[in-house]
Amino acid sequence: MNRWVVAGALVAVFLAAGIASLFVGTPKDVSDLKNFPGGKVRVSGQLVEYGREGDYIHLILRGRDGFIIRAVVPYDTVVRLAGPSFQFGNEVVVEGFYNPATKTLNITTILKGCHSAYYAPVKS
Amino acid sequence: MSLLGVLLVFLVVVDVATAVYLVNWGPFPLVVKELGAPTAYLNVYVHVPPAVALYVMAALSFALAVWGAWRGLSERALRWMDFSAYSVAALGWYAFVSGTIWAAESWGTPFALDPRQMSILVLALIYSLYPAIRRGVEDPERSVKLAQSFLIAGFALAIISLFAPVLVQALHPRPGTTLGGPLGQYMGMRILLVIAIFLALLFAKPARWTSAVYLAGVVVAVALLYPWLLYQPQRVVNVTDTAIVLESGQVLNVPPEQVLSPAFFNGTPTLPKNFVAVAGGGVELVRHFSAYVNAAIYFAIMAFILRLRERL
Repeated sequence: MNRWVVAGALVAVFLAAGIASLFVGTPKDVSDLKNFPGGKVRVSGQLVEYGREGDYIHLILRGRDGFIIRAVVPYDTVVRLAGPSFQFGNEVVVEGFYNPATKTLNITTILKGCHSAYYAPVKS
Repeated sequence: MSLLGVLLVFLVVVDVATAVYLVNWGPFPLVVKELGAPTAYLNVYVHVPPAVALYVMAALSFALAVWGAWRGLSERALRWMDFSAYSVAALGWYAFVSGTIWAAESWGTPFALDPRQMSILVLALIYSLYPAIRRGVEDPERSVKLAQSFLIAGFALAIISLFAPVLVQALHPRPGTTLGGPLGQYMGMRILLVIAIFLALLFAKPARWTSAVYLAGVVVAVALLYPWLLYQPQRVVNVTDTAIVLESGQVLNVPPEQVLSPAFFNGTPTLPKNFVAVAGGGVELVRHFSAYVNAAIYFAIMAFILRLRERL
């Protein structure tokens, strides 16, 4: 078989694998939780508000069609990972266990990129 | 030993020395808005340069495969093609493993399923099939033709992986981001250094003992982990002007300025999220272990690549 034909076939296979790999970890939108039966989920949503309630921090997250959930995470966990002067951005990606009955997500992991750290002041 | 062989040894020694120096004494972000210890960003010196070299070697293997399919390759160029493909596989695994170790601290989870993380895993898996093509196909001419087709197609994966953070939402920074910041000067020099090593390896076979320099680097990187092995460092969760509050709730009556200076930057404390250890009656800043671990793995992978080149 002509090597260019083999290369073409392999390009198709590799492209499919490569493109699929880009979307493996794509989080669900908060709105997708409307039909989610409950359980572990990675979700992304617009942050409406957040604040401290005792030992927990609550976040109100809104999906693309306006569906809203409440997410909670232990205060100590946030301070340990994000520091005492933490701030959430407008878009939040979290992983946790969702309970559709209470529309509450118990956060186990906060996912955050490292986009601005490279421009931070440096300790030499 | 040829002049190029001497140059290669020099580059390898400089690679080990600069990696060790920067991981243990190099600059790191003072304040990080994102997750995890700022010292985890010392990983830029050992994670990014080999990852960039990976794309250079993938481009080289692609160019040689296209040229070979069109005009044919000399024995020497065929060795270059094989070496570049093997290097992509080895560096792909290193980029995935080191990135995953770093992600555990700076992204909040090791398996973030980030598009760059996942696409580099697919790339490493697929390029790992290359030796099977070169050794498994008995007819040498057919083996070369199949290898060329494989590398031409494989480059599509390298392109997808390189631009993954541009194509979809990602935790990984976009290509070129890291060169813009203050960390970029040293990292940029190391990128050029690692690429120079791979280019030198095309023209010069390393002397047998050259890989021993990298193995010595493994020993040094592991040795530099000693605070983690001896002093049980703890994460700082808060500071006052005169005290440091640890994750366990313990309060150290030591001004944070004595451990990390400046203690505040634009009103933000610099020590929280970092690790400190009580050692010898004082409190010391302990750099995040991931940079040392990744340095050790990097040196081991480079020793492997050098031994591989000896046999080609």
